[in-house]
Amino acid sequence: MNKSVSVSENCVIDINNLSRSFGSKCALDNVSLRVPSGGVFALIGRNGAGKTTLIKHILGLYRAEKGSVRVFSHDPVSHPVQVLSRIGCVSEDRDLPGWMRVQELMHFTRSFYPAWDDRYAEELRVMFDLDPKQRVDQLSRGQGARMCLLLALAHRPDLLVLDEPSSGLDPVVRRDILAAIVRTIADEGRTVLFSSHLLDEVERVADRVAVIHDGQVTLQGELDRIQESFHRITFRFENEFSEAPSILGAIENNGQGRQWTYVCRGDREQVVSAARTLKAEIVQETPVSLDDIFICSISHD
Amino acid sequence: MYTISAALIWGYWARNRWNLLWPVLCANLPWLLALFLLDGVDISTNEPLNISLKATLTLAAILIICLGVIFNQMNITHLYVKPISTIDIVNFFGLAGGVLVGCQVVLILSLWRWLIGGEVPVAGPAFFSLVCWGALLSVYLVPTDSARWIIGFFVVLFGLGFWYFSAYGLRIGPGGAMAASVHHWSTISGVDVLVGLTVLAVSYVITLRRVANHRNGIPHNSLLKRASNYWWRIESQRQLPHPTFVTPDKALEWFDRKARTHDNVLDLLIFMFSVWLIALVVAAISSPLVGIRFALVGTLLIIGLKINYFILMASRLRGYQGEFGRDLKKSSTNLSGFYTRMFFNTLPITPARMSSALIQSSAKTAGLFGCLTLGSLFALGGLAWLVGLDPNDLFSTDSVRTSFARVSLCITLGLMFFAFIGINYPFTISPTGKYLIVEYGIMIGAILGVLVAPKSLVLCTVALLLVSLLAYSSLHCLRRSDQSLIATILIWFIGIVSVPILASIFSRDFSATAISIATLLVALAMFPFFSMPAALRKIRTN
Repeated sequence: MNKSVSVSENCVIDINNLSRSFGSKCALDNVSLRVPSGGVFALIGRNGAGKTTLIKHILGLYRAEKGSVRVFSHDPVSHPVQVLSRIGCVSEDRDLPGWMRVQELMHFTRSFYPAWDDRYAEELRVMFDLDPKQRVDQLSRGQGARMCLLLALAHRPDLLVLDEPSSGLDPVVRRDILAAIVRTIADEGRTVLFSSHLLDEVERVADRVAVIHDGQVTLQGELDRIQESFHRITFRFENEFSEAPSILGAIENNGQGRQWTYVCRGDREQVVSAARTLKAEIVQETPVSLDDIFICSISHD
Repeated sequence: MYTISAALIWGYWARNRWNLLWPVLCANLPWLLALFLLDGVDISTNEPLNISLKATLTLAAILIICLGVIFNQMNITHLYVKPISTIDIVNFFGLAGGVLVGCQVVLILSLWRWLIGGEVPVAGPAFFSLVCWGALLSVYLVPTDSARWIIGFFVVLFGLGFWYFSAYGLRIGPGGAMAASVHHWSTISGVDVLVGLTVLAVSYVITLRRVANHRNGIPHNSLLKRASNYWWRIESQRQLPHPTFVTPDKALEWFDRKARTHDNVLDLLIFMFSVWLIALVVAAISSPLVGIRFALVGTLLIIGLKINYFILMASRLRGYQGEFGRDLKKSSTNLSGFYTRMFFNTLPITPARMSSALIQSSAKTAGLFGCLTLGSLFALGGLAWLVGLDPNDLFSTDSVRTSFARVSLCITLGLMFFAFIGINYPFTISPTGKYLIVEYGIMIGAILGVLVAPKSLVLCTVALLLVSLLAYSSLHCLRRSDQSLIATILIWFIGIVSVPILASIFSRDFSATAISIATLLVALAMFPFFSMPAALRKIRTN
């Protein structure tokens, strides 16, 4: 009993065997995910992989067809106020009411969050260079993203959810968003969940990642450990091969003749000893980028 | 045949085939209710009052059908990148829409003729509807700023309205709108053809020019546009108020009023003000009595249009801006649709509190409508009394004596109920496609029922059906704790008490028809209290 309580307390988000279909299309298939408190958790996947559907379940915008979703130990559908008051959310759509002015929108949103910090909101507004008298529909795309970010951060949420926050934005706004993530986690115990296509961003800020492909989580864990478990090694073989020789643990290869490069997963020594049985020597060994890991995990799982 | 025209027509049909039924059904509703209320009156006579009523309702129906078709058309800018000439674009919108408008008007008028068995002219109003369509297209087809929209609408409305009422013999002059010279628009005269073709030709040229300019990206640097820009400049320099909201409910109520209901009050205010302004001019040129009669007819027309507009809104044509028939969840192009968007749905507020805020906002709007309408009508009555006319004569004819106060109250209450019901309707029932079948079913059933059964019986059946649905909805609401037991009992108590009061206002002899209509209106007005939380929950959580 005590153990389950402590697990639940340490986990901001606890998803178990979640499935969801839209007609005949299975958007999420038996997904289980735990997002621990504190740190940055990144969801990565291709378009239509199920990232936004998963985030909508976390926000209580979709009811779980199968399985369960708990956020701060509550069902977000049954207890929207308890859950949403502790979440700051920026969606890809940036669908704010266009007829309002920046200041009106800040006042409007403030009334929903008891923890809203006026001073911090004003600080963010000045930092993001938003004119309080400007109408929201007259904001540029980048300003719109900053406005969303301001509204999501001003109540100092325990969980910041960003769904493709950088989509279609220039590098300056993307930098602001990354800075916001860093600032949020600087506050002790706060958590960031974000989905992105931009893997270099993920690599820069994420502590943990989950790869979603065709509605399934194909890989999840701490980013450092995941990167450590992948190896890119170039071997030179004694003989020439028209096809890459098979090596235990190799999941991707390219090359020609005697020289072949492998991306492998698992124990490095096992891979190297398997190559040596084929009379190969190591030519080069380079770190594996998240890009490579992502491509490997969606093409081989 | 794979031609552009064929593709466009197919697209038009694929997009609108079900949606376009709604304006026809909706345009029927005020007419049917008016018929029910006049149950004791011999409606087949060609009395000026009946002809005036028919003419007003026909005009309201024509305008609603035109607006329905316009709302259902695709965005014209989608065609700008296609290899199709501007003339072809205008011809397509004009002809396809014209055919639809014409057919629907003929259909609805034939249906009315069939229902009441009396004289209802078809040819004249159908011809008028085509002219109306052409003129409205020149105002609506290309996006405009709000000032242009309002003024353009007024010019078209009043110009065409004058011609329309003249064709019925409803005139501004000695004897006024309900004089003995009032007749049906049974024949299309040479003058009508000339006026109609001239309006169509001018509209066509204006539409063509505006579409060409819009397609070429030429800005509309008109006086109106400049005035509009100036207004925005002043607005942006204005010191902003600092709205402070004690609770999320208050914030939401403010939001709803500003975003969804405020424009409706503003529309009515502008319409009323314009009618009074023109009536003043008419009174100065002619006589105070004529001015008063003009103001009366104008006010009734505006109220008729507004009622029809709310029915149209209830049918979600406005709320969906042409996306009617699709799930509410998918609609995100407009202010009603804003409630379906992610920002809104991630605000920490329960559906029950959200519903309470929306209901408060719409109730205030309905109240404002009531004040405006009753104020305008009573001002008319007062002015009539001042110039020595018995106010009761304003709504009376030789054979039918009516009380001015009672009719004014009926009209005001009707508008208030339709406003409240219409504004809340998109959130009243569960916003999924399958419920539309129920709506269609009840509407079509009621219309067909009138043909085979006494009107009072049909009304009574529909009212009972609604009360049963309301009871089910109340129980469901209680089970989910969206309303407290005390609040539920209180709402039902107020509803039950309101029915006989309303019925006694509608009908002096407290008829079964009046009781049924009162039950119907009260039940529809009670629905949002119980079904809106569930609908909002459904919108938030799919």
